[in-house]
Amino acid sequence: MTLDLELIAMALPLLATGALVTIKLAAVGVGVGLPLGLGLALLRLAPNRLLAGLGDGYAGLFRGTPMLVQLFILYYGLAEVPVIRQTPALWWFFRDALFCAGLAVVLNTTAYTSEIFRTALRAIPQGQIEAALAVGMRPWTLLTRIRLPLAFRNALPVYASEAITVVKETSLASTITVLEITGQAKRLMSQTFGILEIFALASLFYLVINLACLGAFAVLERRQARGMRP
Amino acid sequence: MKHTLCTFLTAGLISVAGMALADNGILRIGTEGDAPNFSMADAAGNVTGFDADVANALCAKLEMTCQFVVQSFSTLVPSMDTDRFDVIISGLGITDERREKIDYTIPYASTPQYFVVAKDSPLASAKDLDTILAGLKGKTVGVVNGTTYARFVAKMAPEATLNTYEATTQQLADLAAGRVDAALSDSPTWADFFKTPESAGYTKIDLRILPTADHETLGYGMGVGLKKGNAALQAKLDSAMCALITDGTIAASSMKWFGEDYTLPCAK
Repeated sequence: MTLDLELIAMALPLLATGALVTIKLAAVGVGVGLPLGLGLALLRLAPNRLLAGLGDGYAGLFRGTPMLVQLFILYYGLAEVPVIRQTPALWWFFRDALFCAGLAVVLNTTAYTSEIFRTALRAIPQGQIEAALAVGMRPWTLLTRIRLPLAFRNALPVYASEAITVVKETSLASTITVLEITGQAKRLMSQTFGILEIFALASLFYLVINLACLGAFAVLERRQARGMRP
Repeated sequence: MKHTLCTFLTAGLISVAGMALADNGILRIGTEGDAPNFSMADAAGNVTGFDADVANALCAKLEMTCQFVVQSFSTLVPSMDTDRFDVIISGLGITDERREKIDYTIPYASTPQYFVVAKDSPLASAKDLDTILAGLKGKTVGVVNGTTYARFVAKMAPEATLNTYEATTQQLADLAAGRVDAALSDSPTWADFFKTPESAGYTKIDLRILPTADHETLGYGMGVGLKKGNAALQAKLDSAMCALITDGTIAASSMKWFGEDYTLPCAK
């Protein structure tokens, strides 16, 4: 087959518009999901068993069900609930496909991020904690000065992986009318049938976003490691 | 005269029926399975509806066994390219653009399309297409991705925001939820929608949108889609289809499922 240049010229600007939406969704996912996930990890490690159990339940629920199903419940399902349609503030939010997609991404990545940080926090050697307690650190200082920095450094490589998963998960938003990269590509596919060119281009967009994302995390990782190696 | 021609075509058909059309006398049929009254797939994979009737009648005429493959509408044409099935029978409209990718049998039916809007919409009482298209400026219109009418709206109402859905059920859910200002779909879809309580606040704009409104996007009616360059299969399907149109088989199925005769006369 020959490469259809005209088709590519037509697809590029539309896919670029879609890429902006993808980046927006992923940025919300990482920007909101990271602090929430961190909070959830601490909750799940809380000595209070009720709080820890609630946190575990949340993480289990969102890690144990497909995001596509969650998305359909949030977008198509909740729209059938009268209370949501009749409450202006709720309907303002759930009427918008982009908001629903953003919410689904945040709910999901929060669950996965909490798992990453829960493991990282538990992996901190007990000796480090004991040393901190021995010099008289209060729990808050212990958390911000010792536990979080150490956990962050341990979790960073795994979290980088989660961040690019978020970028890829945003493609599910195309099923609820959001025109991000995949949504634009599907629409172009049904208009032109140039399936190979269009989805190869779409992949390229994802690849560029994700490589940039991984690059940023690699820089962060190197900074974190400063002073660790001779 | 017409009768003689069909007898001739049918005789020709029977004489070649001994030769295998596709492998093992099985005709694999790609269909959406999610379009009420056209193509409805149940959990067991059985397909019923107008498309299924047309397919089964064709298979009977060709003395082949029908095997249905159910996929979302927008993936049907690409999947036939990769040999997932031999033909598409899924209310597939004939368009110039699709003709570049696939071949068609003669058109056998055409479904009238209608816009649906909220009862209190200023468009509810519109009488002609120009008024509707002008009124859609700045409005959100729901369509199913990959359909001819999705392209019709994109071309004729470029200043409307298009919400595209993977399936009719999702488009209707969003119409009922009030997320779109108008939706375009065909007569049987609306007939079903207006049986549901969700449709209470909505009304069909009383204007039949036929392929004549814009052949470029709405095409020429629906035909059976098949892979390019399979002239032998195409000729056989054409003669079988012509016979089924002329003897009233298609019309009977159309009346059964839609209460309306959608049949187009055999153009051969």
